[in-house]
Amino acid sequence: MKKAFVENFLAGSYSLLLHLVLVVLLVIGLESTSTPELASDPSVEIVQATVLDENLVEREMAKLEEREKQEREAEQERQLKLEEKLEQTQEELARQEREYLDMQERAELDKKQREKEAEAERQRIKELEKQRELEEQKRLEAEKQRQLEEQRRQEAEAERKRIEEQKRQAELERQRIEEQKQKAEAERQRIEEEKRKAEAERQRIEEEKRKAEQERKRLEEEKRKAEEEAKRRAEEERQRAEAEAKRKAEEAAKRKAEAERQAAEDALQRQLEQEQQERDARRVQGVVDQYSIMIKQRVKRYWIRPSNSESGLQVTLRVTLLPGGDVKSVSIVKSSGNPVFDRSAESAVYKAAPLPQPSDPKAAEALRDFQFIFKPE
Amino acid sequence: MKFFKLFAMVLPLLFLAACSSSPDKGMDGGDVAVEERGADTAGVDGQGADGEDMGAEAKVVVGEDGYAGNELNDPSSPLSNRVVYFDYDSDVVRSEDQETLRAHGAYLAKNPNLTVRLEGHTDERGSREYNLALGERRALSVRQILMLQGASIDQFQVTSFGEERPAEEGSSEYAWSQNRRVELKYIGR
Amino acid sequence: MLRQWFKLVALLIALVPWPAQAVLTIEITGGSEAALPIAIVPFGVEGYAPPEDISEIISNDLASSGRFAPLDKQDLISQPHEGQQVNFQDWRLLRSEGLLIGKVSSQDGQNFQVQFQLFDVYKAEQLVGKRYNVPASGLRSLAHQIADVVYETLTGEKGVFSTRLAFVTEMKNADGSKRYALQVSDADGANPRTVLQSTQPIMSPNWAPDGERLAYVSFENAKSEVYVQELSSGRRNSVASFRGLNSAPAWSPDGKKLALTLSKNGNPEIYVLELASGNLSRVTHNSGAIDTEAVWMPNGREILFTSDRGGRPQIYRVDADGGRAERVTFEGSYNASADISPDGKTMAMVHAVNGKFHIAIQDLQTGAVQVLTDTTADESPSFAPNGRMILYATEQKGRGVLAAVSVDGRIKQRLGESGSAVREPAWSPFRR
Repeated sequence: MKKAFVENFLAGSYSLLLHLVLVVLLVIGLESTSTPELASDPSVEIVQATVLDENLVEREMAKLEEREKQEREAEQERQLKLEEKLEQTQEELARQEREYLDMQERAELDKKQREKEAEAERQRIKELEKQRELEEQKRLEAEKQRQLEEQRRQEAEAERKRIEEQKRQAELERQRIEEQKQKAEAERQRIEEEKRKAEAERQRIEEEKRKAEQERKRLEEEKRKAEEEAKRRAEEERQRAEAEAKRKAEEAAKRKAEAERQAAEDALQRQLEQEQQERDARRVQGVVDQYSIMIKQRVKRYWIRPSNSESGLQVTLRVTLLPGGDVKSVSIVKSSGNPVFDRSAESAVYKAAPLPQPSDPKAAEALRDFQFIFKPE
Repeated sequence: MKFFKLFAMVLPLLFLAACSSSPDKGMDGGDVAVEERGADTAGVDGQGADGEDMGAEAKVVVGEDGYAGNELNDPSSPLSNRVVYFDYDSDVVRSEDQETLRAHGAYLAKNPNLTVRLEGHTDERGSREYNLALGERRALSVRQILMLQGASIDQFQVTSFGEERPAEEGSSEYAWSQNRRVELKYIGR
Repeated sequence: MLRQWFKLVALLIALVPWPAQAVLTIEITGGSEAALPIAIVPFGVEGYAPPEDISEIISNDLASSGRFAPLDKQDLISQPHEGQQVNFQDWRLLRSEGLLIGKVSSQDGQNFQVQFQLFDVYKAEQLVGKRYNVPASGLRSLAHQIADVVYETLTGEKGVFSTRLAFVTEMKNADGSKRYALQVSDADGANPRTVLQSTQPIMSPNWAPDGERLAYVSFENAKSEVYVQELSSGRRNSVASFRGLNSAPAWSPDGKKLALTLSKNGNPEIYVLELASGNLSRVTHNSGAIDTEAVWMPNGREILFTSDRGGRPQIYRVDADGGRAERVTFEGSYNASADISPDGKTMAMVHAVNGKFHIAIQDLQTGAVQVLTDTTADESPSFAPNGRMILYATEQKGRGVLAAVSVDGRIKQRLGESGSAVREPAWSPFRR
């Protein structure tokens, strides 16, 4: 086992060595002899082949695309020319019918002709058979006559031979007739086939006609259905509009009723509100009065009037307040004519700020913009 | 502009202040120092004028002629008492002073050449001008009594210092009582 | 579009002047006449420091009037010297109505530039501002002038801080004798200067309406005589030296006449002396009574005077041409030394209650009397030329001093601080 491996190894090694030597030699040889043309030729061929292939594919692709396109177009055309085709089909059907009728006529004529010829053949064959029978009779009679002992036999032989010949001839004839018969049969069959084909064609036409009819009917059906649908829709729409109108009328009525009810309610509410407002107003007025006094006292406390103020002096100020009671603006509505007196009043308002403000928003609102009249007495 | 105005105002005042050397001006025989400077300038004249000392009774009392004589200087004589006192806001001579004044009146009547100066005074209470008049009135009350004894009106000089020359400083009842008075001052002719 | 319409309508509604009754109106009557709070910021100093503290003088002036309450220095939130440094909100918090700021600058210590600005704190606006150039000696006078501007701006009345006072001082010499002086000072009693010195008493100084002359009583001739002295020159004339009393001079409002008390006919009576002619006319005729202390009513036609014709001193009124006198004072048993306010409506007087002498005022229309002082030896009331203060003499620790009280009695203050006893003050008229 081991020995075999060693032997194999050695043999392999020799072989390898030999191959190496060969390869080296070959490489050296190749290196010395190789030319650029040699290296380039196959690549050119490959490229060309590739180009060819690609062209082929492209063409195929183009063809396919074209076909697809054509199919799409055909389909579109089919779609578009459905009516046309129907008409064409009908025309074609009419034409084919006519052709079929012509062909039938011709087939009939051929058949008669052929039947006549077959009859004539048969007549002729009968004639021939009659002749042959006659001749047979005569030959028989002759045979009979020659042979009437000897001759008769020869004659009979000859006769037999002749008869055989005749028989063979007859066989041939029969064969030919058979052949003709076959031919006629084939012809008949062909006619039959044609007839069948015509029938098939007729049937196909019939089928197409039926299909066209069906298509027409389907279209008609579709049309009818569409019409019905439209009608139904119109009806529905009408009903819906009617319902809507009704609903609206009802709603209007309801609204009117509601409005009337609301109006009555509002009137009551207004009355209540008015009463409430009057109560509110009285309450607000009370708060305003109360705070007016507080404001008055506060401002008065801060009013340092010029001590020589004549009793006739009087200044009217318009005061607006910020929500906190701070003074937003003070303006002189009517001056006392004495700037120092006026200023004393303005300063009093500013100094008294923030002025008392009620928490009641309405009362506070009323006390946000008001007038002061300052006078010494 | 204001600067110039003010400057224009102030300049002459400064000039005045610089020029004046506060000369004492005795006018009408009086010995009074008058501050001549503008009121706007500061500075007080420190020189006092020597006024005629009216209040120095002793000097006046010593007459030059012999009529004053011993009688006036006799401490036991009622004439030695030459001040009479009054109640508040009154010009009525008290009864206890009547004798003194009668004696003076009699003396004056006996010595018609003698002149007496009656100086009325008041306490400090009340208005100065009223007191000035009240002092005069007191002096006149005294004169009335003296004249009742025969003295002639020509023998009197009546004047009032009101509350201006108190005999006693202070605001006590005692001081007031001492100040409500008429002083008799004999002067030579 | 519709919204804009609504806006427009709302605007129009807003613009419609609503009837007056739609606006709440609050009537403020009364008010107080309290002192106006004012912030006086110490003036800034640039260059040489001034010899006078101007803002301090102004502050004292304004406080002395009783019309102003300068904020305490420590309450001053900030110390602006120029308008742009002022934050009004600060001063509003202090409830200060006015704000006075300023600065003093000098390059040489001799001449000073002074500027001030007075603001309305609430309206945040400058009310007045001025700039002056004065020598160092003029600073005090300028401070009073600024105080006058502030006063007039904020009260609408003229200030009296640049006016003067006349008064009599008494000093003891080393030998116990006395020295008397007639002096004139600033309105705050500062800066006194002697216009007359005498060893004899001086009494009853009275300002001529021109503020240039003084009439007074001098005892320099051993008796009361009336003199008129021109302040600027020191020239003086004896205008009344009749026998008896010559006293209580009072200038007529036109400055042409003097009302006097003369006893040349034996009894103190009121006379009117025409200065130019020397014509003398007797006004009162009541031999049994003292009539003295004449004072002219501002109308120049009537004279108020003190008389004891009713038994006790009271104040009477008489036509300057003479005629029947009518009694004016009825409250209390002693009313004397009248002075009349510039508007002729209020009379000041010495009013005794239980032997205590106070300064009081009487409304000449209503007769209402208001006692202004609670000291007990008050005398010689004299109205400030704006009628707001009354200067008077009183005693402090037995010594005569000057004081002033506001006509409402709220403010009382001592004036001046000299080593001598002071009395008989008279407030000058406004400078012309």
